[in-house]
Amino acid sequence: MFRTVLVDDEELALNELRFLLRKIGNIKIINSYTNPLTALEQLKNDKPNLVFLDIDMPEVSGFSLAQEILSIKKNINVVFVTAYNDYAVKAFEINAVDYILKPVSFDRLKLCIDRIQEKNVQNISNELLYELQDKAGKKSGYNKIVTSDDSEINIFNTEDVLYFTSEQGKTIIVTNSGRYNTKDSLDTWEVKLRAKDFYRCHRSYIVNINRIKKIYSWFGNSYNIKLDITNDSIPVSKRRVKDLKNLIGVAS
Amino acid sequence: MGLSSGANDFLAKPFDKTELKVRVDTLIKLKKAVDNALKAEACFLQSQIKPHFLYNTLNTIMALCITDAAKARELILDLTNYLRKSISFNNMNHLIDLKSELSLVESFLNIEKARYGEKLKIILNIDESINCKLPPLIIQPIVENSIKHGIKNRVEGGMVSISIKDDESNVIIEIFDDGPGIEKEQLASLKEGRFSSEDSIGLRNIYNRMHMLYGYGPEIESMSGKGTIVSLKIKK
Repeated sequence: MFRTVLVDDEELALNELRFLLRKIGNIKIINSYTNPLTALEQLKNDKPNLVFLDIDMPEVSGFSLAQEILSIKKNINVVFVTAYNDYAVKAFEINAVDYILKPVSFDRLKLCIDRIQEKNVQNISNELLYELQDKAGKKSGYNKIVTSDDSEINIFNTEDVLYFTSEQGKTIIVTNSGRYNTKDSLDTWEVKLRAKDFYRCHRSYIVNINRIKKIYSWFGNSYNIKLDITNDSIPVSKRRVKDLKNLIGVAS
Repeated sequence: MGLSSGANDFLAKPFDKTELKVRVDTLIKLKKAVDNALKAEACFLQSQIKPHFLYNTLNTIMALCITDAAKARELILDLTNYLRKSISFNNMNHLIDLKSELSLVESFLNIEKARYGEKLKIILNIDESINCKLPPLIIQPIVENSIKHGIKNRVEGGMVSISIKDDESNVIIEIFDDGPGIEKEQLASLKEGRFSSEDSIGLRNIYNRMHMLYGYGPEIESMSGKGTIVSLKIKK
């Protein structure tokens, strides 16, 4: 979930952005400001991890605001939303993650959020990895996984869950007893499962590490996973192979 | 025959060296003159309709489509009127009715008001019975400048007022903003008709056109912290 702050000196531009972001989901709009100075003052309270900034604003331009924000907390995702198409280079120089032109299209904004998500997922996977290694087998917390969709809630013992996958936009949990739909996206599950022995081995898969039976190479340097009771093959993204090997203690 | 198929000049054999040189020089001069005219035109075009103004307006209209479709429709008409009047460059040298220029200004103000809401206060003090002929696009760019310098650069916003009155021989149009004012040095050069900064391309254009017609340009007064007033004196 992105804690999101919007800054634009035009109220209607804020409305428009709010409208589009609500359609995307996984975004919590904490606050929106027409005054860039107030936005800066409230940064500590708002604690955003994503900010959308107009560039042409009174007193403080979007650029100075971005620099201030990034000097306070450098891992905030800064996205510029502007009608000017000639500042893109400067925007990326100060480490903005994206630069979107007004009027904003839904598809373009969705792409922006997807990109940030992908970037953040990578950061989370690394964090997760360290966390799991640190724990060295120590299990904590509630040993159940609870899923829900529109019609039912299911509770599984963690060890009975084989993997999560997404197929045609639906998230599916595969367990000893069968396949179930779940409302949450894989990204959300990845975060929810941080304290458990699960690993996001692919954009469309999260596997239960304890159920891995075999990791085998598949065309050149890519890998697939076989789990202990199903015959399903689960792909491993190239860049995640090394993490996975480390995680289950195989020297690479 | 040669010229109608696209050549610029022709020279009969045998060539005379001097004549060839003169012809080439003439062609080069012609090309330069055309380039300059185009540049001037392009400059003026740029100073008038700014792309970001269009994109921001479209963004505003998109937002209104969700919450206030009737207002969105009004703004589309305002934008249409603004574009139609700003783009009619072919009669740049003709005089137009004051009412036509004021309709452009009104459309422009409606758009800005929709964008900035309470931050932009507009006061119109216009005697509806006054009409006169004046060069096109001399009021709107000044109003645009007033909003830009007087209001957009300030968080708290500001006020712009337009007053139009007349006496026996002239119509006086005054555009006032309560913004930060123009710095002394810059004001001095503006008064002398030196428009150096990129921002004053529009003003220079107005100055030149008024000068050709009336022998004088707009009058500018400004006080730091109080605001700026631009007066246009139009002969009836």
